Amino acid sequence: MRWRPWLWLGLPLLGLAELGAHFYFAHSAPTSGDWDALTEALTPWDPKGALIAIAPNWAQPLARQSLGEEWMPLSMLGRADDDGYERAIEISFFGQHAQELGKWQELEQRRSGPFTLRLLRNPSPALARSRLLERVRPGQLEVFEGDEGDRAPCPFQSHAAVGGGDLFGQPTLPAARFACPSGEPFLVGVTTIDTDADFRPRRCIWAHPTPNGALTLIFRQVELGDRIVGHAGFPWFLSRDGAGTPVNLRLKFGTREVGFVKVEDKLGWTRFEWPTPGLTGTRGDFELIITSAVAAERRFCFTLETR
Amino acid sequence: MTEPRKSGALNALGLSLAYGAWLLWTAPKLGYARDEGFYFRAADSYAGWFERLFQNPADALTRIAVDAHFSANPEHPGLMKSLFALSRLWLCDRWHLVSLSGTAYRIPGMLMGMLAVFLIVIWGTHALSRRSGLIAGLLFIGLPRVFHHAHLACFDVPVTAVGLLCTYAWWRAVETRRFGVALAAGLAWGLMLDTKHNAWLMPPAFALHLLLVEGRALWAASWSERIRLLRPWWMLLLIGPIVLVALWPWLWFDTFERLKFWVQFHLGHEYYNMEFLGRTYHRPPMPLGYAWLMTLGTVPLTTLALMVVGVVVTIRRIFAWASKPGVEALRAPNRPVSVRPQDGFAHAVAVLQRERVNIELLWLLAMLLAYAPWLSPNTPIFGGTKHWMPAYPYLCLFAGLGFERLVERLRALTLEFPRLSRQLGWAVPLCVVAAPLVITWDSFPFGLSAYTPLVGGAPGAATLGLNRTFWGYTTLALRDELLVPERAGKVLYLHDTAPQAFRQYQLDGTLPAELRGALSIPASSLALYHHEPHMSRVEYQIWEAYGTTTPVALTTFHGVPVVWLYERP
Repeated sequence: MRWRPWLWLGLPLLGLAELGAHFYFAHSAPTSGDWDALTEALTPWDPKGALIAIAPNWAQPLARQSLGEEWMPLSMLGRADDDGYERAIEISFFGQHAQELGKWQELEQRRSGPFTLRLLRNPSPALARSRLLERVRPGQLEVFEGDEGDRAPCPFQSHAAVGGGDLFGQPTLPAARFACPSGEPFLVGVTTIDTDADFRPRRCIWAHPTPNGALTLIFRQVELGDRIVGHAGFPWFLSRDGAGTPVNLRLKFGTREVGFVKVEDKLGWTRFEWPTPGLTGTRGDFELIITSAVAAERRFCFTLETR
Repeated sequence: MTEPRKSGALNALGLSLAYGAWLLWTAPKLGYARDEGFYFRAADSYAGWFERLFQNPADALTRIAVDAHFSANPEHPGLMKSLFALSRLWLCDRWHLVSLSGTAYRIPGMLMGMLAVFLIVIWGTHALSRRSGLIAGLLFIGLPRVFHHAHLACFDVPVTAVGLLCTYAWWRAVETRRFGVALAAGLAWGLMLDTKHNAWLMPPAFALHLLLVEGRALWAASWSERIRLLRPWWMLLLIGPIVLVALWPWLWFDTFERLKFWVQFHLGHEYYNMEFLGRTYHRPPMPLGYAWLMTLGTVPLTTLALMVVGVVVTIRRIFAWASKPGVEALRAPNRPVSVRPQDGFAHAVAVLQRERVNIELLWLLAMLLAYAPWLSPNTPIFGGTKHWMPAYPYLCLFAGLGFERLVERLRALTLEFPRLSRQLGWAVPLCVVAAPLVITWDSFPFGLSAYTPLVGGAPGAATLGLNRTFWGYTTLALRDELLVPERAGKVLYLHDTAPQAFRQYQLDGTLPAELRGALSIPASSLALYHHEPHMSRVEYQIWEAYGTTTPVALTTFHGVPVVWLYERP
């Protein structure tokens, strides 16, 4: 065992190895030049309209900066789920992969600098016939505050003062909104909230239950498919302690009740699905009734689409 | 002073001055942390009191004056804020030695970093060797997170330095059993109490140390001797609080009520958010592995490996000492503890062994006690590594001990190869300090984003889901973007940068006075975003308010985005 004392040399060698490893890791991530070169590399795949995922996800701001709004719009970043996308492009490095695309089929793969680019196909896309998120506008939506028989309209405002909670408060309350008589934050409009423990963005319809009874949203002439898929939740940062009362969402199609869901804080971004067999292709009004036993600080936000 | 001690002192002075110069050189380029902004304004308030004191002492000492000036930021004691205030008053306003008032506030903190380096080298030289003392000091300098915090007008490096001073004084008090040294230990603990509440942990550590070192002597001693042996401890408890109250004028009135507020504030501190392994924690139970993994991820591995060797050496030495026959006599209270020729060689060896055990046991206890709060899942983790920073001087001293053992072993191995021995003599120290110093150098000005290669550096840490930044101090990284003439006069949403810190940039002239800081996104047309997962919601607010998801500027550290800027289209 005469070699064992020489193991002490391992300590200075460890120092040298650590120094080398430091230089390696400090230059391991893609450079700004690598990111800039991505646009050209991706153009043949026509990324507009595709789901673009970055792995590891911490690099997403760099992708947004280099690829721009057209390829990485808010509607894609804040999507309720991935079902509505037929194609996806995964931009990855460090051997990482976007977990949500794990079951998608790879059509093509190529390299661009340190990146591995993969064009993927959704094996079971579920395209929306109608998205309520895109119908939050006068002529397509009417909003009322109060219970049946005592409803007050929430008139549309196109240029209201934008509200926001900044560092500690609630999400941005948009300029285009259906403003209820109870005042802010009792309004209906489109915003983005953080959902779940990973603080993912979700673009959704802000529909804060009101203190004066139910909040009713009537979407005109919505085309039905064979099912309705929705998601709902609350801003995670403000609701994660689970102290809020649940919010109830009830959907009527004409006189028929199609579905009901109770949304709770601790569940995070909640998916729900209501089948509408035999109604595919028909059109009619959606009446959404939103209530909560205690309306205060119930920053409810949802999406709903027919498929 | 003996020759080795003199050269050790020179090493300590030289190294601490070099550290100070490095800190001073880099300080203006490091953005102000959120909490610094609060302490700047508290220091301004304190400065007003000092001016009153110099002009009209009787007026300054009234309750109205004291409360008016010291009610700012009462959750932290007054010593460092007083020093921040005096530094600004004298170094900047009066003598014009420092041009930026922000740097003037920071100088006391930097001096504390220098004090820590000085004491580490001094103590390491005494306990180990001149060479190992120097290595311990260099390894402390080579701690990226310490380097970051040593710039700041905050309390974490100061409490680390004053804690080390206190521990050093404690050791001297136990070792010499002199009244004056015990008094100094009490004074030092008072200073530590008046720096930050980490000081509360020291009496239990010291009591345990005293019991372990003097336990048998205490058992055998008379009551009067016991009082004398316990003197360092009761002096600590007697003098410390007096110093605390004397140097923190806010406690001069309603003392017990205010002490109660101070203690309750920290015992019931709210939980902020902190990311760890991809999850954001904001309430108990906190992850028990946090302190250990973050230490692994932020302290260079070379330093940690040497520390482990040092701790193993110490533990073996403690067990050997405790089981040695004849040592018990040394613990008799009336035996002299200094080495005298007439006592003989064996006695001298025993005394020196006892001294080493005394020191290393104390280092071990002080280090472990600094980590002890994170053995509870109820201890908040929001401060990252800074809250257990008081452990780091001892960690580095143990690394120095490990280095000493390494050199001894290599020397024994190369006895027959004098040339190799000579070459290893300079190569080995270089090898062990190179990585820590280079990593630290490279971490600036993103110290809180810096991670060691063990976790893959900053990119690896981001992938693992370790905290990327906090305290909003990286605003200066976007300075060039904020200086673009077209952006003059615009309203900038500050995000995690405290308005007081932003104001300080403007006072320093680092950012233009025309740029208006705001805490409202809708009211702004430029928005900063400092990334932490729980802050994502703020970024989403910006997306919605500005109608864009594309940052106009983005700053990375080793390729990892840390802070970015949005502009309203």
